[in-house]
Amino acid sequence: MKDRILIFIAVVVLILLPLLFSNPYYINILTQFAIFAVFALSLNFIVGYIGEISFGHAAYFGLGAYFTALISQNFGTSYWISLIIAIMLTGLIGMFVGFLTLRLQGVYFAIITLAFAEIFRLIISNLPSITRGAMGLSVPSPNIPFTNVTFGDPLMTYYFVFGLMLLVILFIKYVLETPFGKGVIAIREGHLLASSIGVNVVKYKVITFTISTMIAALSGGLYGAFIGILTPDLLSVHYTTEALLMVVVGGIGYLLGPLYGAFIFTVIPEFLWMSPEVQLLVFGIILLLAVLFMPRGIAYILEQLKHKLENVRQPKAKLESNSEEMEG
Amino acid sequence: MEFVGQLLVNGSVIGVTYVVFALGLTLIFGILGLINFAHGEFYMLGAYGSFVLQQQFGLGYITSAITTIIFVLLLAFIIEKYTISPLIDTDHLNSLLATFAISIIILNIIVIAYGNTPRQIETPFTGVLAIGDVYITYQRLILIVVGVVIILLLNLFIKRSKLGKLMRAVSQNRMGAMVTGIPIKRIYTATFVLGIGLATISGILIGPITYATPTMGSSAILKGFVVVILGGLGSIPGAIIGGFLLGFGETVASVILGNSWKDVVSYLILIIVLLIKPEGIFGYKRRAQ
Repeated sequence: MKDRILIFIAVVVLILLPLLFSNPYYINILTQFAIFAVFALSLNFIVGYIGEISFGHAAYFGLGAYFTALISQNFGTSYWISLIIAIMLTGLIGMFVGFLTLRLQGVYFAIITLAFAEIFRLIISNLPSITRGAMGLSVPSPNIPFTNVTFGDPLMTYYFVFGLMLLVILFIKYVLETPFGKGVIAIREGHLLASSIGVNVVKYKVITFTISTMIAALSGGLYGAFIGILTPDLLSVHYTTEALLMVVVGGIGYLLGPLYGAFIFTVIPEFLWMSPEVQLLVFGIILLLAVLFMPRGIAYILEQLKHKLENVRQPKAKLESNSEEMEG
Repeated sequence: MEFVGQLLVNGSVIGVTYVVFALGLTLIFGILGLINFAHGEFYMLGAYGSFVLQQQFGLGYITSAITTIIFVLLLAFIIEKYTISPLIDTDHLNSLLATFAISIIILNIIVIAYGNTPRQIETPFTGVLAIGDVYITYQRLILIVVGVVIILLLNLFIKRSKLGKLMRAVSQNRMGAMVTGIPIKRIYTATFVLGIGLATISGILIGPITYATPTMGSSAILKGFVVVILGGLGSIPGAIIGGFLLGFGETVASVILGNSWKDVVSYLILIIVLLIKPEGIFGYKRRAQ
């Protein structure tokens, strides 16, 4: 019950927060946070629930952005209809890649996902007649669905993206609570045991991977409309790095972990006025320290803090609260 | 005929560089069970070390090369001791992420310090050797000769020296090695430092040919992956054959398909090998560690 109140407060704060700023610059930072949170949530679905590291996740982020822009520009469909088609297409590609790669584990999986991502990136950059290659594909600002407000109006865009982010979180939470989701968690905890109770390991992993690439495509489509220009760089390791940082520092395998990570890596640097290189350097150091000293991320630390606070107040509840650990 | 000869020369230059680079990668994987995502950055440091020592301290190519190697080996020692070693027995994702973090850190230090402009590295080996109609610059010739000597020395070291034998023991059976009293942590450190040394040397050798850029490591690591997967992760002969295969294959592919598509071909080969024979064309099935 207390969790619900905390989440409610967090949502209200995030809704009211942009109203404090008169400068649209700060509201745009919050929008960027929400977009990257969706991207990081999608990667956490692979890292946290399949238990493998994908070094090529940005491919699906970039494909989502490119498909959406190319479909809307070549077929005249609205940006958001195109985004839905793009999510489907990316999901198909994701399913194909997942089907091929998820038999591999550990470093092999990391390398093969990276190889696929590089191929997609090279294809986009080598076909300038379609994608305009390294020159960049410009994306005209669409209207926010069912309104006359253009995507770019800071406050409305933020609310729209923030709403989508909440939907994605609810969707993931729902998926994890279905028998399918329980099966996925069972695989993470021990794939031999899971398969012995009848979980089809490869099939479950492929479905998880597919859903993850579709969510990544959603975030990519939003990011494309947000920044207004696409370059093949969107598919590069650079963007995978950002999402990985968010997931690892936020807390691998925690539902809300990626949100903490996304907040730290998008909002805080904007207030510190660092050049991109210094920012990445600091991020690298944070990642190294996180792996060395808090491998379970911020979400784990927050959980421990919460347990401590609860135990101070009612010491007898200790046994119960410990048994609830690790979920969520 | 001179066309084929020129292809052979170009292929050997690329091939030798790949082999020396990938030998370090495969050695570290074979013994520590770790994919070193920062491997490319040490290769880049090899080139930048030469550049900085030449420009700011006025050293020559060879003295700057030796100084760079000593410096990078020390750096590798410190990195292994404080980041890899504490993580090596935990979940394998941790050490993977640690090397990934190290690669981000090194890359951005270099970008902050020297920017993104390509830097030229001076070499005393200027001039061109002509064999019939086939041309080869002296630096390329030096690269091939030094590279081949290093490959031979490394093989001798692994086969004959005491440390090499200990390394092979750890690679074949970690538990068994531990039981017989081999100081496994020290073997890890030695292997990591040796592997990084190989990456640095390949960077020093290629530097004067390609210029030094901060991102040269990121493209090298991808090629390194192709080579070690092709030959079998952890296999030394595999890395040698894989490196030359990729070197010649790329040279031919760039003639047929052009430079922008040749990388697509190497990644496709990587994927196909991983899917059909993940232990590599020349590798053997590894026991789960």
